[in-house]
Amino acid sequence: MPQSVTTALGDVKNWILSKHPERTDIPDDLDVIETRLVDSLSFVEFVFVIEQASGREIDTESLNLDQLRTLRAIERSFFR
Amino acid sequence: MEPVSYTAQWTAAARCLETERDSGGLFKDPYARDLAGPRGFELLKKYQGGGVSEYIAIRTRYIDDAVSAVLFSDRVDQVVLVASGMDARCYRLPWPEHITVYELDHSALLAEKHARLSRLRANPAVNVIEVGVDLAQDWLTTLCDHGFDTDTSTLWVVEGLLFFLTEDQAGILLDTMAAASAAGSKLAVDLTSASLLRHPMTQDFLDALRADGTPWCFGTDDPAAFLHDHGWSITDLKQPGEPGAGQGRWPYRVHPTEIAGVPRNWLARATRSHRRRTPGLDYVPPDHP
Repeated sequence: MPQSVTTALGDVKNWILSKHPERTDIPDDLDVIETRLVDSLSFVEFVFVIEQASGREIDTESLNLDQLRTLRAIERSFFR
Repeated sequence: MEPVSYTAQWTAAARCLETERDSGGLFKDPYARDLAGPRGFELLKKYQGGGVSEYIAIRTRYIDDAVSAVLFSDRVDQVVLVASGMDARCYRLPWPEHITVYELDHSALLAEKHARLSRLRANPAVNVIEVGVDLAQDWLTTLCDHGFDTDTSTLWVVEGLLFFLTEDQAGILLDTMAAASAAGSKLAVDLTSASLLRHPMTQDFLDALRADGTPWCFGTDDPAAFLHDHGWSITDLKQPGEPGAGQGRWPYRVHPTEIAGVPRNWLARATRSHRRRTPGLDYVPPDHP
């Protein structure tokens, strides 16, 4: 993974960690929606953070949640 | 009890948690723990996340503040708690002496609450009249039969109810209240948003509510317009987390209303619009509660 992608994805991970100070890490394959690390009301900010980190606009109307469930899926969907 | 009555226990459970916080609680409801059983904590756990507990706590305080503000500054003599559920405001808030409070809900729920509060030797701090009704029927006639006066200014409290109704049912309820309201009458109410009901992240929560027989049906992204269409002019509109609505206690960013597609809830105060409909002429009971 290029350094820039790693750093950008790190922004997403750090945002999740900032919301859950009890956690020390977010494994790449952890379902952050199923585990409620991201919920319906933090979702808007979550998408915004991914947009800022990836430089890509995300159309939430046509969004498939599976694109956002794990850091690996986010990387595959928005950082390549 | 009706399935929807169990959601009253859920609300009481959230009020209990708020009451038992070590510090920073938004209110104290010393009766909430006894009113939450047997299913309140189970439902609270089942539906946790998405700010549900925080929302109920913030909403409770917002409505408490609205009640106090109206009663001690406006000329209102009667209060109606519509679908009052396990609300203990009559027992825990200070009330002016001249006030009468009508608690409207299913008879079985009112009887259960009354029995539990009696066992706790709780005494109401205001003149309370319990009115057992089915809000899908002609509840206004029953309310009037219990002494409610349509020529006296009223504060209506509609908390945690409208999302259980269809848009038509919610509109008819507000129309009926407006028609039964003398000049100067007020409303304190909460609503959810249409965007919350549509959002992909809320569908599991909404599916679970549906499976439990208590679906959320109605939300609006323009509460001012909806209330206006049904006889009420908004005087205050807040989202949880804003000043006066749990600022500092809401664990999420508050998104400006102009950002579309955000799942959100609304807390509002309103006053009866000048236009007064004639009671009875356009009232059609809804099909379902």
